[in-house]
Amino acid sequence: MNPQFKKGILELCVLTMIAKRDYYGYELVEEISKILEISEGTLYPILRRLTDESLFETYLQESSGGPPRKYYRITKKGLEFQKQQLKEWSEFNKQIEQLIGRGK
Amino acid sequence: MTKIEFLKQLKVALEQRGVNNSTDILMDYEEHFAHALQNGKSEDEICTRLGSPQSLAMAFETKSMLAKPQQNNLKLEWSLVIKALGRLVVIAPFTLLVVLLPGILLLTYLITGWALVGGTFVGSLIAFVVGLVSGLFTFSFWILLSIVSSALAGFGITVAAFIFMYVTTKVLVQFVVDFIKWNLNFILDKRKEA
Repeated sequence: MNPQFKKGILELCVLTMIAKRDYYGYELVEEISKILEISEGTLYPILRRLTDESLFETYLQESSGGPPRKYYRITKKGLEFQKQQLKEWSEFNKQIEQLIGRGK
Repeated sequence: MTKIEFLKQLKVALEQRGVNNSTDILMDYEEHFAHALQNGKSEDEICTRLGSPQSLAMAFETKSMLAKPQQNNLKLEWSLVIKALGRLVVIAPFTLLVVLLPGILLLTYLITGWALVGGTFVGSLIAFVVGLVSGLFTFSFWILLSIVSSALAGFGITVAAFIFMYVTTKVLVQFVVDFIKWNLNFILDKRKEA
């Protein structure tokens, strides 16, 4: 996939996944890289930026027999942002669909 | 690449780009390694999947654009303070040596000089008053004339001494101010750029 395109959409994926439930970094990376082919490390800058912008908050949780997990939870502000981004994305998708669909 | 190599390279790359919170960022990747290793992946495989530390550092740089100038200012100030302290330590004994002995001599010179000026002035004033009073009491014109004229000579000497002391004091003060300025400039590293 086009890397520039992927970068923008990755943010929406991260937002939407964490809007559904809390994830810790590695878990999120695993889930996404199962479907999208990405450099796994690039998810951490996204997580950090969204956290800095108060769209996420983090908390640490010890797990039995494993390393501690830093969980990401969406904030109210994050949820609003996610809704709006998702709306824009589906509108854009529809427009592209119209364009591409015409060719068929 | 091993985990240690990856983290080291990432640390260097982050610091080169002046990214905030590099310790926190490294901790996130350490956690990633810990989980991936537990899932039976090799360090080399994990590194390959993460991507190059340099390009990751770049991603953190673009995201911390806002925090960057602030952080740079702080860094600059700190390095300046440390430099200034270092320079102070270097220059302090030198300044003390150079300043202490000549300084004492200088101060002595100024105090004595101005004391003499004051002294001749007060002396001449007393002589003038005494001459005037005694001349008037004895009604001797010659006594009056001789004492008053010597008093006037005393005033003349006072004026000459005053001018001399004024000029030398000004030069010396200017010299001391220049010296202190030079010291400060050295400490604060404000060399004039050619």
